[in-house]
Amino acid sequence: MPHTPATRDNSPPMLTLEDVTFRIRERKLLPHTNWTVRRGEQWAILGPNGSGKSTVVRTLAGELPSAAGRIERPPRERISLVSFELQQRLLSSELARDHAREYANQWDTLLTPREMLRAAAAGDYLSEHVRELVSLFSFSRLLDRPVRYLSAGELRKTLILRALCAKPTLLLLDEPFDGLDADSRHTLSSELQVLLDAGQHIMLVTHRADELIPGITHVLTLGENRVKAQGPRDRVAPATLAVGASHRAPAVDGTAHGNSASPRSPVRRGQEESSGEPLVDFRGVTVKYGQTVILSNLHWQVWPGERWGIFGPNGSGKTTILNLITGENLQTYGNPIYLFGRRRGSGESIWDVRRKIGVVTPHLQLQYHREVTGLHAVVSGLHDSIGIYRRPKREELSAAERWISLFGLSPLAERQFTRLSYGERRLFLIARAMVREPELLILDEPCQGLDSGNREHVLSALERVCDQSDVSMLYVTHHADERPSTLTHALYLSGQAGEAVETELDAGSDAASA
Amino acid sequence: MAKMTFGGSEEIVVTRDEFTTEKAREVLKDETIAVLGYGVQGPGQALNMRDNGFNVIIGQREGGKSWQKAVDDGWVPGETLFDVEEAARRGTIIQYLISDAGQKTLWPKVAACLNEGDALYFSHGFSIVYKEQTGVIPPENVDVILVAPKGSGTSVRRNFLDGSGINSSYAVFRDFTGRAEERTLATGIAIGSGYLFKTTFEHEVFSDLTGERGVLMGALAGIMEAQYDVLREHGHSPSEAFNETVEELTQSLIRLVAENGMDWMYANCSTTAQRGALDWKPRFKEVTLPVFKKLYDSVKSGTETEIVLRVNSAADYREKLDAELKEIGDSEMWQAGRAVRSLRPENWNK
Repeated sequence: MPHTPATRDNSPPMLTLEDVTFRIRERKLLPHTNWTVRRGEQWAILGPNGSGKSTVVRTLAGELPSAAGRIERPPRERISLVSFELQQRLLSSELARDHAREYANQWDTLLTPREMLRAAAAGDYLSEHVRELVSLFSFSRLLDRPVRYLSAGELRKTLILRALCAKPTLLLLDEPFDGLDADSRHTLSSELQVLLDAGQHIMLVTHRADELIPGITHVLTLGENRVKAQGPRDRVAPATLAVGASHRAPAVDGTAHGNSASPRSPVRRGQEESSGEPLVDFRGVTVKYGQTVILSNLHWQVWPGERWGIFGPNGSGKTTILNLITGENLQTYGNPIYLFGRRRGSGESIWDVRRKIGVVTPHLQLQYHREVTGLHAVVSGLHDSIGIYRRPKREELSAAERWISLFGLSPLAERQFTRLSYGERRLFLIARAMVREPELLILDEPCQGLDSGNREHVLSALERVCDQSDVSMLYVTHHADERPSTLTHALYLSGQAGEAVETELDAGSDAASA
Repeated sequence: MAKMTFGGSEEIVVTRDEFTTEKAREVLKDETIAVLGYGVQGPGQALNMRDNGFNVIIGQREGGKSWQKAVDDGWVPGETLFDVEEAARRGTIIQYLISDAGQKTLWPKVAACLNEGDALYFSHGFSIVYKEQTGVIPPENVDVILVAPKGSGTSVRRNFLDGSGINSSYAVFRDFTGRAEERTLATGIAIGSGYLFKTTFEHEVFSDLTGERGVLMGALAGIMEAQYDVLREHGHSPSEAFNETVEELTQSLIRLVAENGMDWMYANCSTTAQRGALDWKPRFKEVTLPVFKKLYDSVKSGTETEIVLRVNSAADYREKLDAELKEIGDSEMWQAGRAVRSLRPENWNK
């Protein structure tokens, strides 16, 4: 539905940028940017990974200084920024407090959304304003759940709510839909629309043009280190709205995406049953915390060669399943879980289990900020370490180089890992997971935060993985267009007290339509 | 087992490279390790041993908060989670990891559950060294051993997951089975120690009690207060007095000392600081040395523990303690500290 801007060019400016150059560490970005945001206008910033979107909003929020130019904006305390980074920071600082809790043996002090809102509303906690927000976001049932147990989407809402409690003049939302399932994206989008209708100024940052909510009236698009277009949404040419491949991303050579040439036929149960055993065997798995049931009596097997997609809304237990397998979830011990033919808790160590598994998660990427080359980051996968602590052997380097070259990353292998783009780092981490030739590859949202160009690169790299190895795979995503075509099976979690349904996908068919 | 030199003295140190997890598993293959108490040290040690593939059960009073925490952590009632006495009966190595006061109270029940050849394991020498006061006198037919990780339960767990391991000291008080030392070392490796330093029960507890009464807390708090008061008397603002006394120490200097040592600090600070700190160090040492000597004697003679146990059991103990703690909490210095902490850069948008 086309939206008519409610403002004229003469309404007072809320934000003015004159000849501004942005800066992140020693890198200067978007030189000579001029931009005016007037009252009543609702802006979105679009652009591929690495185009400077987050730098712009972090600068507006006062987190980063600018390198040159003049910025006129509301006072810092009237501008709120909600981002994935903030979410991670909140979570790590909350977990860091466990040290003090453990020391004092005070486990009844876990941070809850209620506490966060109370602090943000500064004494005005039960005001009409806050109560309206809680009801708009249907949040009352979550107020007392410790934030560490919230799903990604619930935590995102908590942060947005907290930001709104302080009645900001401008709310900056950096990729608010990232990591959310389709339903949560839809719900959040309608909730944001209500805020827009009520006159709340929002600035929405996204790399997905399909995430622009109806109430957005103006668009700023970034790319090639400049502002490519700015203006009313219906006047900015649709072509600039298509967020394309980042020109910095490497090309993955070889087989095209979706190529079905010589697909490997996974070993099915029934066939060759005598020759093997399931890699993963859940024989009635239940995970619960107090009265909160995450998984209920889940029976599920993964056989060698199978490639599973695990789908379901936020909080339905997808990551819990992965963590039961890696041993990060401690309830793996209370449950009848068999991994690689052995019951968990029967005398094996978690290191024995983890040796057979490769893992890539957005969390790992955040944690991985060591000064090592891309090549050494891949080698570190052989030792399951972050960073590298002993001189790599020749055969370790050549194993790493093999995967790097398969992904078309060779030109970047000697660069510092932390200086690579977001999408490039993700590809290196997939190579890191594969270098030890695991029996099982676990990918939790491997495309999270990637623009369409980088998404293509990751998906085609995964097809190469499936083409070149017998590795079994568990793949979690919320987006239909992020499913590799090589998936053979799907597990759907309903989110209703741990219900699950599994289906077999036709080999070679487009898994995205399943 | 290797001898390593520390500033000229030789000590016995066992590393996990020589005493491997596989060897520990071989030593303990027929043992059930019962961890009594799921409070502070219990969870870290128990989770690490379980993740290393050892046979571990938990003993905890049913129904409390710690019981629920154990269930959340994947311990199953009736299989790996029991009442304290039941766990003590089932275990062959009994890790007594509840509070010092709790150990005294619970001892008669636990003692009744010990079988010949069991190992009674401590992470603190308190109950055994002061056995006349605590009443914790183990029967003659069990091993009595100790592994004391040098860090909180959380760091025991975190370092294990990092793959880095924690340093611990170990000691054997009584070797009934002839296997006490290898059981101690195997358990020390099982809980995630990277290095194990040899000590005795007495030395572990004397150094621990002296440390917390001295440099780690009592002395530190005392000299901080003294310096703060002098600055305030001379008209310095509370924020300035706090910053120069506490904040700079905790936010910057102590981390450099941790990484490089005090000798490095002396070699690398400004010449103004260097001259003054060199001149004043002996004066502080001179006035505190007699106090530390008195402190050590009071620890060794049992006076300190006698006071703790007597005061803790007084009827109005809680009231009096609360008043003492309130006095510290309400003092200007620590009130100023609260305000200074809230202004740290990382806290501005919380």
